[in-house]
Amino acid sequence: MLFNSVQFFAFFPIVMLLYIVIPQKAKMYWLLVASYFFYMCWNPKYIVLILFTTVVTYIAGLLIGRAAETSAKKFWLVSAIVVNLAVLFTFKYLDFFFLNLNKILSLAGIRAVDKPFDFLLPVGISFYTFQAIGYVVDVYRGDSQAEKNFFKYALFVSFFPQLVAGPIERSGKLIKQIDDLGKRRLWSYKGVVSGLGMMLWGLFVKMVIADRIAIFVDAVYSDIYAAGTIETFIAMLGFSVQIYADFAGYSAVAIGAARIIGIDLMENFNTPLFATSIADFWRRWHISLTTWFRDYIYIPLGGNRRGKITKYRNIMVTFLISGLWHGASWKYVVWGGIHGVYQIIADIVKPLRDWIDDKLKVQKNVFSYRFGKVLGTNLLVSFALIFFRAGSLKLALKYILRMFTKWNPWVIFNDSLYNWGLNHFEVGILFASLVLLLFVSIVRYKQQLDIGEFLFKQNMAFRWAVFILLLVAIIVFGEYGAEFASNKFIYFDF
Amino acid sequence: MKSRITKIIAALGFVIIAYLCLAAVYGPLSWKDTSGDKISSLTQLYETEDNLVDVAFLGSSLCYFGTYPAYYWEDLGIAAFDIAVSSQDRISGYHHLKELLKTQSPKVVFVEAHDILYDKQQIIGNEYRNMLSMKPSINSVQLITEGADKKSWLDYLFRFPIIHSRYKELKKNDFELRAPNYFGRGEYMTWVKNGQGVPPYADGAPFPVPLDAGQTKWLEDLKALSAKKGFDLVLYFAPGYMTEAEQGVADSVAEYGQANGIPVIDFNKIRAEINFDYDNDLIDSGHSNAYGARKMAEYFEQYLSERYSFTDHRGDSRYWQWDKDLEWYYSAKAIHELKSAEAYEEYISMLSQSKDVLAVISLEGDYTERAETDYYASLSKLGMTEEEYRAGGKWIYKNGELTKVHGNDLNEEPFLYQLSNTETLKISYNGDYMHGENIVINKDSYYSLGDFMSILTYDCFTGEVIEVRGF
Repeated sequence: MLFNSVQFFAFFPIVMLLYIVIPQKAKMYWLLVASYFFYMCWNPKYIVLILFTTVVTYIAGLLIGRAAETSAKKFWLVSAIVVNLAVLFTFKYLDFFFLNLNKILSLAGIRAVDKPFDFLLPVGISFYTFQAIGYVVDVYRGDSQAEKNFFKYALFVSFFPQLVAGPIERSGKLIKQIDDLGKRRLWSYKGVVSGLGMMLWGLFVKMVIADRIAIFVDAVYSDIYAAGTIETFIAMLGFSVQIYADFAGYSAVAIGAARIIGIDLMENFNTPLFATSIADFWRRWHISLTTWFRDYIYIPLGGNRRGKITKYRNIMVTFLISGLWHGASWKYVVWGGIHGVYQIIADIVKPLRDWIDDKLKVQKNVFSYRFGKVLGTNLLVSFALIFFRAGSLKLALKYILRMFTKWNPWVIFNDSLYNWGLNHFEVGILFASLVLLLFVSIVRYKQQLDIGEFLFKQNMAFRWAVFILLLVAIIVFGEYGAEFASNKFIYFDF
Repeated sequence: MKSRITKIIAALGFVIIAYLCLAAVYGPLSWKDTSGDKISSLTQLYETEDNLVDVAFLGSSLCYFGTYPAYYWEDLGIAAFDIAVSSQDRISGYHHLKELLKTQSPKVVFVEAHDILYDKQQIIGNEYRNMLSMKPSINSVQLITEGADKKSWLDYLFRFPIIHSRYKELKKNDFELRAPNYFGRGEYMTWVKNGQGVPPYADGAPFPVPLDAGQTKWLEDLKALSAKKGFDLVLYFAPGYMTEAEQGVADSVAEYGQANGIPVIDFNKIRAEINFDYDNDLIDSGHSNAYGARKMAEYFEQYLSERYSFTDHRGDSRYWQWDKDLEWYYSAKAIHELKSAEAYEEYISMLSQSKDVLAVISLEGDYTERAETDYYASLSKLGMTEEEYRAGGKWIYKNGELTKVHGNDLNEEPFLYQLSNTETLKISYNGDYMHGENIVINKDSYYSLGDFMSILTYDCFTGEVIEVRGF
């Protein structure tokens, strides 16, 4: 069930209505039922997987919590991680593994090995697996208590607003709130209003902006030999905005839906388009995943405490794993690797850059300096995303080659850019929406308020007007419904 | 407590305003099928006062091409109505009839039985029309759940997922409260002749093929509806091409009718009786034109006169839509004849007989110098003097009156004429008939460049430009 589907528009109000009227103690169980139903709408069979992950990590948590010896704790921790990663590997990376194995075997002249299974990638498997692994690590470290109530823990793993594409929550924060579900009323007027604002904004950003840009981007990526420098360059930047609008839109709906219920989910995006460096970008982009990698991979590897070389190794390892987490393909690994290289180079050349700035007396507290850095960061991020978006590593390289060798500036002037799926009117809608996105981003950047909180602070008439305008814009100009096919959130595939 | 009540009232207020806004947006975006190509007669049914329809015709395009309620009104004052849509299938046919019976109580319902051949809509556009043009009700929900794929149910129930993308194609009509042909009675009028001969399986002994469960159920459902609602059910097959298998089904339906006391008329089998001409009474292999519809109407009128007595409603103001429908028929027929005229003499002659046509006649260039462009004899019949003719200029001809509106003088101001609330006709002169845009409606030119006599015709009945002709 997609957040932008008619089913969700029927599902969520029903869930909320019953959630409000049922007794306090039943609320948690109701949300658990709703969450499992939500997941089963995609593929009922795969509910077994999430149940398996839940049972394994639940038992592991209890065993770690009860074990007196560190070695025993470590044994249960490693066992839980291995079992969960094995499931993830089987369903997500087995194809990739056999593909590469057979390539190596063929180089050695050995017959290809048949893949033993053929699975469909379970939606959201990377998200809930990481969330569950995070829990057992937290219990092992003593950051969280092992949860004794299985249903409470099951809801932590499967809470429907963040089940299929995050944010990847930390056990300490979410389990505590689930615990409160049975004790006191969590939903509030403020939560409902600001949550509704978040949901509407998220749907607007996803359906009006991301899916509209996708029409142009998909057209260029699927026919790169008809595109020149201008189209490929615009599509490169376009995908950068698309993936942000797509995923940030999804996260906003998830956070908004949870907020209406009375659960506070962690922030996932903090104006990443305004990042002034790659490191700054990763502090603002997919925050729940970035901090997960920081806390559970980068820091355990030693972080930046053991010298430059180890630090650079840790950065590369973290980003390569992050790339692989995004998908079973070398193109994602390269994408992650590029970000690692960006960070290492930035660190190496920092003294030189500072020296040049100093010699040239560059003013750093001016708009133009910050703007230049933002522009540069966005270009680097967008460039790396070519590997993310292209069908394969080979196609990404062809795309880049085309971008730098087919100079065709005249297409800007002869209207042929409108032949890539977006006519003048659609481009007009897109630009108006992007202006709105920029405005909301500036509010977020300056006031550190998300759109829900910002709207809640405004007068009721203004708030209503914004809600209604967003609702009408989504319903009329959103890309959805009978004629719309590519209506999946990009991060559902991870 | 007070604060809580205020919040609840505020929330309710928001929901009401949001609903009103969405309702306002729904109007223009709603599914409309009024271009005439594929008719949704439900729109016209909803405009009809309750309990006026005497006789209903149910069916697909074979019904709305072949049954002109205007004929029944003109001849007998019977209020007939076509509840017909393109490629109507069994499910949509049944629910369309149920929709009609909510507000109307016809004595007789003639069902064009080609519906029996289709269990569901074959074309997605037709499915959209059937599902979306019916007002929300239990009947429309039943139509959706029985006629659409399960995965589309919510789309049809909420409607916006399908209609929202119409923002790309909105036209003037979408913002008007009523459809342009809201007074129509379901028919599609055409005088095109392109028939393709007598169908091959019309003759010979019947060879019924067994009806499947769905087909039998449909007939049983219609029979039950007829008994419940108290109308007489008559099944018929319009004249036209049928495959061998289809003819077999028609023969089975005839058998079913005989066994159940339901009259079944197969027009292919009585073609001689009605003198049906398969070359000239059809627009293609199976759809009747106005000539074919006339012949079927005569048969049905006789059938009705022999078995029923109907009040002649002509003159009753409640039946104004049937009056207007007949007027529309006359207008459409006149326009057809006008458009069929090729030589200017014939064209101008037809113009003088067309009641609802406004014409703009323009004379420019050295037409008086050439014998082959001596239009005067014809134009004089519209009331043009020889002096006016020689001077040239531009005239508006409407309701038998010719009015000169521009003298082809470069210094003369353009003549402006309000055709409708939004359409302004501008008549001017720029001194060059080869390049002039001298007859313009809003921003569109309707001037026949390079012709000495340019005639724009406009249908005042439907508010549409008919054509521009140059001679």
